[in-house]
Amino acid sequence: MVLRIRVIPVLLLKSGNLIRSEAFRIHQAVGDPFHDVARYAEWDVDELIYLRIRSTEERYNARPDVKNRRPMSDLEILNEVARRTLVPLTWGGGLRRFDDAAQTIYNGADKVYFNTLCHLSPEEVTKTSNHYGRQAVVGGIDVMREGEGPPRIWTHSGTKPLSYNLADYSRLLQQIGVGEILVQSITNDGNAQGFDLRSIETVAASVDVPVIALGGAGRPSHFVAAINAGASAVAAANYFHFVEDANSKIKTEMACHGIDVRRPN
Amino acid sequence: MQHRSLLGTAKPTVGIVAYGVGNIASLAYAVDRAGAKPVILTASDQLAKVDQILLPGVGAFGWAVRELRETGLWNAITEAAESGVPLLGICLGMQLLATSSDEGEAHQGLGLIPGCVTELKSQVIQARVPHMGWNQVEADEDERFFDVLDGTDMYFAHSYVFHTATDDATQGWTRHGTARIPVVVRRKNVMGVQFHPEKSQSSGAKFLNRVFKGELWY
Repeated sequence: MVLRIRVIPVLLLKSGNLIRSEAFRIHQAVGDPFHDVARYAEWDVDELIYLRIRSTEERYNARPDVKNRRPMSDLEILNEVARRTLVPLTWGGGLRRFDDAAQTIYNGADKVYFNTLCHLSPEEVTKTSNHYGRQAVVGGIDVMREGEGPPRIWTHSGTKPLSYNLADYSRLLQQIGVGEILVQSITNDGNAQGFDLRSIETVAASVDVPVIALGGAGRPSHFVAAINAGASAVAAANYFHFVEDANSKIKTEMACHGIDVRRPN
Repeated sequence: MQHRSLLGTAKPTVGIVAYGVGNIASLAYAVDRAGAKPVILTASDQLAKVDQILLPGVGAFGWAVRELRETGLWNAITEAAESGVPLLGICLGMQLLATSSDEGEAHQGLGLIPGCVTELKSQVIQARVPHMGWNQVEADEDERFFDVLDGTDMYFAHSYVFHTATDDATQGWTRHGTARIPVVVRRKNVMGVQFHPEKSQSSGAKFLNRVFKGELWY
C-alpha cells in the first residue's frame, strides 16, 4: 500500500469568472466560479486548485447573464468555495507577499500557490513556508518549449522569460521552502495533445518534493504518461470542464495501468 | 475542573483552538456538519464552556507553541486534558501532543502523549517529502478505531512524524516509502490523528461525526 496518485481539477478565474485558456492567451468565460464545485464534490475528486489569471482590464467584465449582480471579490469566492469543499483546496495566482498568503489561508485555502513570487521575492515564499509549513506552499513553474531546444521558464502570466534552466530553478524552489512544484506547460495549454513529459521528467528528477503536472491533457492515456514521467499528481482544467465523467475515465485508465489511485466510495 | 458528560448531550460543544497559524474555517464547518456546535477558542477562559477540544493544524511547530503560550491557551489545554476533557489533535495538533519536536530549533510539546516528533527525510524513506495526498490507514484490530478507520483513505500533508514512546499509544499507521508512519495516537481522553479528516471527504466526515458525537473517546 502506497500513497495514491492524485488527480486534480484546476479552475481558472479571471475577474470573478471561470475561464478556459489556450497557450495562456485565449481566455473564454465558461461559467460562474461555483459552477463545477458541486459536480466535483459529487465526483469525489482528490483535490482542487483555483488559479487567478491576471486581468488587463481595469473594470470588471462580467458575462452578460451576470451583468446585474454585484461582482464577487476573489476572497468572497474563496470563502464560498472553501465552505463547499471537503477536499484540500489550493488557491493562488497573483499572490505577491506573505500577507496575501496569510489572508488566503485565513479565508479557507489549505495551500497557497506562488509562481512569479518565487523569482520576484523568494523571501516572501520562505516566510510563508516557515510560518505555515512547506506542505501549505505550492510553487508554480510555467514552461514553454520551442521545438527540440531546452524549455524556457516564463513568469508574470507568461510574459517575462527567465534565464534559469529548469532543473536549477526547480531545485531553487525546493530550497526556498516550496512543498510541491506545479509544472505547467504554456505550449500545451489547451491543445489537448498531451503533457510536456520531458519537463515533468526534468523537474521530478531534480527535487524531492512532489510534482504536479498541468497543461495539455486531452485523453486519459495522457494522464498515465504524466505519472510515468515522474509526477505524483496530475492536473487539468479544460479536460475536467468539457469531458463527461472525467474523473472516472482518468482513474479507470490509471488503474488499468497499475497506477494506485483513490477510487471514490 | 469538572467536564460535562458527553452522554445525553443533545448538541455537544466543540472548542476549536485558534492560534493564528492555520485555517480553522473548514474545521468549524466540519463540526457543524457533524451536528455539533463549533466554538472558536482564542482565550484560556473559554475552555471551561466546551465538551470537547479540537487542536488543529496547519503550520509550524515553533510558531504554534509560541502563539499558544502567548495566549495562555497552552496551560489551559493541558489542564483541561488532564482533568478528562476529550481532546483531539489534527496533523500539527497531533504533533503538539508530543513531548518534543525537532522542527525548527528543538521545541517542547504539550507532553500529553509521550514521544517525539522528527522529520521525514526523502533519501531515508525513499519517497517524496512532504507526505502529501491520500493514503490508506491501517488501524489496530483490537481498538475502537478499527471500524471507522481501517482500510480508509485519508488526506495527509506533513513532513514530520510523531513516534510515541510506547507502542500501545499508536493505534493506526500508514506507509510511505519505507516508513511506517503513526497516524492515530491515543492516551485516555487525548487523541491525535496525522491526517486531515476535515479534508478527507466522506471518510473524514464519518470519523469526525463519531468523534463529535462522543464516541471513540472511552
